[in-house]
Amino acid sequence: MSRRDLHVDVHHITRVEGHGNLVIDVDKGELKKCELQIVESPRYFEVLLEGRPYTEVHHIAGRICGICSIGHTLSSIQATERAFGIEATEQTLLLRRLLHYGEMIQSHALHAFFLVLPDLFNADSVIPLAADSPDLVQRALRIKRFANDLCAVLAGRHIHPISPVVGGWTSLPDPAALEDLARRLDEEIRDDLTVAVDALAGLPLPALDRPTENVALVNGDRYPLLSGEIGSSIDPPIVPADYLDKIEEKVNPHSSAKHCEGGHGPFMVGALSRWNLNGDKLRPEALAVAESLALPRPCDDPYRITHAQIVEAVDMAYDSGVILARILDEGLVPETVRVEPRAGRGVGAVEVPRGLLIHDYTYGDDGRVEKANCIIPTGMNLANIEADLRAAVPRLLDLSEKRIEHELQMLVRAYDPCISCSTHLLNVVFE
Amino acid sequence: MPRPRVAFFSFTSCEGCQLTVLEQETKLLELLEVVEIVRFREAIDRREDRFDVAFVEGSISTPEEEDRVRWIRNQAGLVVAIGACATLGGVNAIREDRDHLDVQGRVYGEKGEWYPAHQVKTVAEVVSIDFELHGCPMAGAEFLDLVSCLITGRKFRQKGTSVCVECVLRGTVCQLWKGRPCLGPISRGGCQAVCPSQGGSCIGCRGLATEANLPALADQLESEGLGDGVTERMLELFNRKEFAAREGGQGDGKGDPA
Ligand code: SF4
Ligand code: SF4
Repeated sequence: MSRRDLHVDVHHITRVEGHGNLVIDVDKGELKKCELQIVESPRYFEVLLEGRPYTEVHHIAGRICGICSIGHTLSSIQATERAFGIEATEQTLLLRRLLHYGEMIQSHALHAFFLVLPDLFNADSVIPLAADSPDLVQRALRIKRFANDLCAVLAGRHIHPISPVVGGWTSLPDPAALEDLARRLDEEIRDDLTVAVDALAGLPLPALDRPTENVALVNGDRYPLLSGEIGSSIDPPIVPADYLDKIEEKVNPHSSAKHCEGGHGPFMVGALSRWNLNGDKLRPEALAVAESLALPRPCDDPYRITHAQIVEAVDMAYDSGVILARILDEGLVPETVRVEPRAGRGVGAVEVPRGLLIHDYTYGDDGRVEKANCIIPTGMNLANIEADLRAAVPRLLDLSEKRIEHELQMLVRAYDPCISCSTHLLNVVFE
Repeated sequence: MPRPRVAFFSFTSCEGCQLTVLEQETKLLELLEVVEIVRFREAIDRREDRFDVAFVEGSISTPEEEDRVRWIRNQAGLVVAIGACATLGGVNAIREDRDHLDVQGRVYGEKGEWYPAHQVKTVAEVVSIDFELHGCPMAGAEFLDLVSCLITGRKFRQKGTSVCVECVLRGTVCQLWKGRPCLGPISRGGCQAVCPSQGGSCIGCRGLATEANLPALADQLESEGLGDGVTERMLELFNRKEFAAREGGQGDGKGDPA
């Protein structure tokens, strides 16, 4: 291994959500410092939620993050429903799943085509790509547009959804708009996805092999996203309410986002962990894409997260078609569910684009939050990203400084970290 | 302004307003033809230090953020505050009635001093601004409209009328008639009353309408059995600062070291 000195200091990594710095120090070939510093200002969401009535809680919780506001909203609603002992109806759950697909497809497309793809073309953003590969960029934009519109038809808008509430929906989607979505899916989006997948399949990614614990929901809905237990590649599954037995949060001086560790050290959540634990439950169209991307299962290479996201996006696009057809065939009926607040605790656990998301609320009998705790996927991944960086640096030391910086930024970016999201963590109890 | 050089900056926020720009998919490529984006950390690597227009998202909630936004003001021709976090303090300001030491301790435990809580400020509380785009998130159409005004020299007009007016124009059934509290009568429109049209209540994300009559709404809700401070409570979601200002002071953060 090279005996060189290296100092990498990337202030505000680009093409990620939120503010993070990457600081690496190598002294005569020895790694002295390796930190992903989270410098996003804390927002203290747990405090913002305290004392708020349940009718407002999901509106506030959704504002933790613009890009996964639907995921936060659904996890928040789930936590409240579990605290109050409410069972959502089958129709409500089906519509929530369809809405969730919209956000997952939109977020994965944004990450793969607009944040990662430029790296693979050695471009500094998608803007030069739009000139060089206009067809690809147009198709990627159309996929994103479709996913946004799906959210807007169901929830009024994608960022900070309006209609999903505790107990169900404040309004049902317009059938004509659903029909239009189904048509676009058939006539355009499937083709667009095929072309986009082919483009990605031809582009080599850097590689890193570092086995780690994978954590994701298991034993829930089809490909578990909105229900199930917290599963692991090492330990038996646990129920969501017991998450604190598995996940330990640590406050760290270089990060306003808390780091998480499990019983076996750092662990990974997100598309690759879901693929590793649940890949066999995906639709055949998605499995075919995994094959064309040569994505193994299990896979220990974090650079391949982007490929796992694409596989998921294809699965969800095709499954959206199935759900849309079913809704259009069977029709939707207005439902009213009585919401009666009661004192108690509820834990929502949902798979959002970047991984497992937990909202944990304790309510008083007046229907107001007494205590709130949120565990965000990027927070869970931070320790794992640092472990990957530590593994990657020694192998890169023979490259130019610029190249090392580039590959390490790509590694961080592969996780699609949502830094703005991860800086509002919970009440910790210190021994 | 021919092909202005524009930059985007993000402070304490969910980054949803910047994302709103990326979500103008059908207009995005056209937008790139008429403006030159010289800084947008979420999406591009380029970082230039001079720009004609700076779009600033988020509340200003630490001394470092104050320094950074002052620098932006210096470098930019025009500064536009985008979204409720930047224009009102937004949801970040919900905690403004709480003691800062208490806030940081609740979230970070005894390590709270590593992450001291400060007063949440709007962009205009720290530097002078040229335009505001309201909403949580800001409305994409208004953003595009402002850009087109800047390029053509057309005057940018903000709505001063209430959300209620837009409900009437859309023919949306009134939330108050359905017996639900709603801030529509006192909230600034421009969103096409999107929340009531989806069967939800307006929670006031665009600030107060110019002619907002708070006591009248409070009385109306009271008379419909929806009283008990519900108006004030809903106003805390986005309008804690503006409400406090109109009520005459109070609600400022305590324990601010500055
Ligand atoms: S105004 Fe709303 S959407 Fe915009 S950054 Fe703030 S919380 Fe996010
Ligand atoms: S209806 Fe009210 S809460 Fe909804 S977008 Fe308009 S101003 Fe904001």
